[in-house]
Amino acid sequence: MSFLSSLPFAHALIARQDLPVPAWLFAWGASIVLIVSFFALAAAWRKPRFEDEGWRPLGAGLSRALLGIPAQVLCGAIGVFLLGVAVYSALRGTEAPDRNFSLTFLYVTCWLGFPVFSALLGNLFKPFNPWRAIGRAFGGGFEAIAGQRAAHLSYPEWLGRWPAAIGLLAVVWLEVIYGGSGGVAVGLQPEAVGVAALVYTGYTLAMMALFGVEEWCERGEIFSVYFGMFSRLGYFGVRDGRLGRRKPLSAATNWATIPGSAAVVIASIASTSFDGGQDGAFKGTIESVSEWVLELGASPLTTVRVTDTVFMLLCFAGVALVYLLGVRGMRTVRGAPSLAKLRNGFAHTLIPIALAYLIAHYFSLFVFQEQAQFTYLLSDPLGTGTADLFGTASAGIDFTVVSANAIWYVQVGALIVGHVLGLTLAHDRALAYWPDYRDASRSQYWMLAVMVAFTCFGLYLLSAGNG
Amino acid sequence: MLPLAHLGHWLWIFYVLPVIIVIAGILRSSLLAKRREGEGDERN
Repeated sequence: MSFLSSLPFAHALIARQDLPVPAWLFAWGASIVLIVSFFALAAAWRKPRFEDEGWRPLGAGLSRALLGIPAQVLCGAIGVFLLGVAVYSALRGTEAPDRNFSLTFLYVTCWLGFPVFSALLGNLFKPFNPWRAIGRAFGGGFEAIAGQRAAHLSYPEWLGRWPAAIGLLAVVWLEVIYGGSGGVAVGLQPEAVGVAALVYTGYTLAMMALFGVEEWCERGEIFSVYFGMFSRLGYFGVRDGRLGRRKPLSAATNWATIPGSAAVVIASIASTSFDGGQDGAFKGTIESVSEWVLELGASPLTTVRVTDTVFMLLCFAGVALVYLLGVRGMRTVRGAPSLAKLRNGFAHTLIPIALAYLIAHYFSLFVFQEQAQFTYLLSDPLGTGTADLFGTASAGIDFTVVSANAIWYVQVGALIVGHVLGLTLAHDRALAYWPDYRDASRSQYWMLAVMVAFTCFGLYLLSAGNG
Repeated sequence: MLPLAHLGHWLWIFYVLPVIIVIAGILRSSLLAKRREGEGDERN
């Protein structure tokens, strides 16, 4: 993320790799893997397997222990406490972004950690969601005093997850564009993050009061929707208050039934692409447009922010366009459902790609910055050098913990696996929509093109960023 | 001297080529399928 871009642990600043072949050949290799996977799926996968989750509940005792009221109160309290620490350190701590607990905690540990661990273990954010915990506590208090549940407005169906999609772009915008230096400022000020967190807390609690805690978390609360989306890929889930196992990826199939879901996953891919490309692949073009805006009389800071905002929105439009072209292509196949059904019905196939983009672009940042998180940032959250809570305040980051080549192979591996999973989900959904498996396979030619395009684009962004 | 210094600016072409090849293959097979369907309708 760009607040770190001037610092030695920036994700874009990776020691030059010593690859056995040119980086672009990996794009060719990845494309071949996708094409082979496509034909293997067409030949061997002839019935939908993910439409049924294959739900198997875990032991009642385990569900009670992990989902019971004491666990909910404890996890909620931890979430509220950590949010409080982050806001306090942002407002009271050092202005240096790399020494302040808040930025790394919110933008690295939470923003990058929850998607990955939710995809592996299930929806981890839900119990720790501080706003949900506060909202539920208020709701419980109201019920105890008034003797009845608080009444809520009915949430407009058409609005769906659009507030979360726009909010997701806004979160990234705050860090990457508002805080992005562009050679003008010094990066995102922790104080700005603290104020933003407080404003978001007020907004979220107001929306929860209007529409209900769970309704808002399902549709409008940015972090619940975003992290919850990735948790649909995982093996564990909760149904009717019971913990259980399901087929991996299967819960994703019914995620995009709410309007605006496609926009959320597209926003995720687009914002990661923009962050990955702004200092690499898009740099020259952004600079050219910036010069043009500057000539119009705008101040340097306004120029950087306006240009970057336009490019981020263009990324969103570009990713959406590629996806919609794939959907449009599917529509041409005999027996295809309506365009609207295809558009929503295949949005979940982009979730593994969003995760792959996240891992590919931020893996090195996460590995390096988490060392800081669990050493000096934890011992000295304010970064003022006045505390050493766990005796690790003087520790540093070991940049040799992963080599440049290892980072590259993780990035390529994540992109390939993510796109093969996306292809598999798309093939499975096509089998549910087309009665003849041959037509279903033919419809997936277009999703193959989408996947190859996203893979090559992702690898190009990485190679240009690393170059 | 070859202008190799500017080669880096054109590397993106190598990333676009697989996409173009796949799209060309899809268009070709789609057209063939359409033609086959058309011939089948004429016979019926």
